[in-house]
Amino acid sequence: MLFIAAALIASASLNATFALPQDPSVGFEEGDSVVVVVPSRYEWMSHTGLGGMNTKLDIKSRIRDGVIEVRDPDDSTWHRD
Amino acid sequence: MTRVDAGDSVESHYIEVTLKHQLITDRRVFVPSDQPEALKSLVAPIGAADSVMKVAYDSLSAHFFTGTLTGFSPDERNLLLRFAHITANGTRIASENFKSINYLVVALPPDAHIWNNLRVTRTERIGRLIGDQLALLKAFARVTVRHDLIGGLKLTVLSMHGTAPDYSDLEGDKVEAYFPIDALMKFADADITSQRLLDQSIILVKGDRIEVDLRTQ
Repeated sequence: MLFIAAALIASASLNATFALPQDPSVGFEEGDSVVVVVPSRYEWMSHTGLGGMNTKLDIKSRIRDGVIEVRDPDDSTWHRD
Repeated sequence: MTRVDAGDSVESHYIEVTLKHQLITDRRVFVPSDQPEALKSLVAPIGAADSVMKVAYDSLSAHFFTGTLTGFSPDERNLLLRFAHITANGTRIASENFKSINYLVVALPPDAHIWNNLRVTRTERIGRLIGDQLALLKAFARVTVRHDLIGGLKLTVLSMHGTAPDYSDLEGDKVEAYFPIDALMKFADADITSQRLLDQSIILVKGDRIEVDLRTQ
């Protein structure tokens, strides 16, 4: 049985707000609309604020051997595909 | 910022970027403080959206269109991926051979409703869930791809339900619905009713086939 699973890409127009102590170049600036390209299964959801009404979707990433990796929140493994 | 993550024993330093999406939803992207370039791989200006999506779709295509699915042309692959991603708002894409038909499998986000067991029966609940997807089913029928490679659409979704008022028995039923392309085409062309479409399809709830009667809605 052929069963190939592949996470879809989450993309959205977002407004970025950030304040970095060393202000490194990240390719966009505060207030810019951006797209995020991360399979939604790698987002870690948490709720904060009064009644847990605020939703946070966290993504952790790094570069190893020149390749971007994203951390799987379920088992803390890093994925590069 | 610094934080200790699950599975780690030492504190790590990160750059945190908060992306505002809707009023109460934030996406936060964390990359090592000495790797700001990692952000460029994940977050791109909106002006680069088309090229970013092309790279993403090409990557997905390489993983998804294997075996018999390599018969799809680049345009057909793009149509199927756009359908699953944009039209269906899917969270996963797959293919599955079920009863000798190859289905495109699209996992939908969980049903936004939490149904009250005291007021809504399972048949009504699943009927409403499927009924909400009729426009999506017509849209799939109009995706012009070879039907000998993909002979139907399978939708999967979680249907949440429990008993009011505290819903302490909250439960998610996995719903799997197989729609053969022939029935979808007839439905899209108004040759059969939505009820007839469901009669010719296979609806499973927690692995058991059920009958859905839209007239009870």
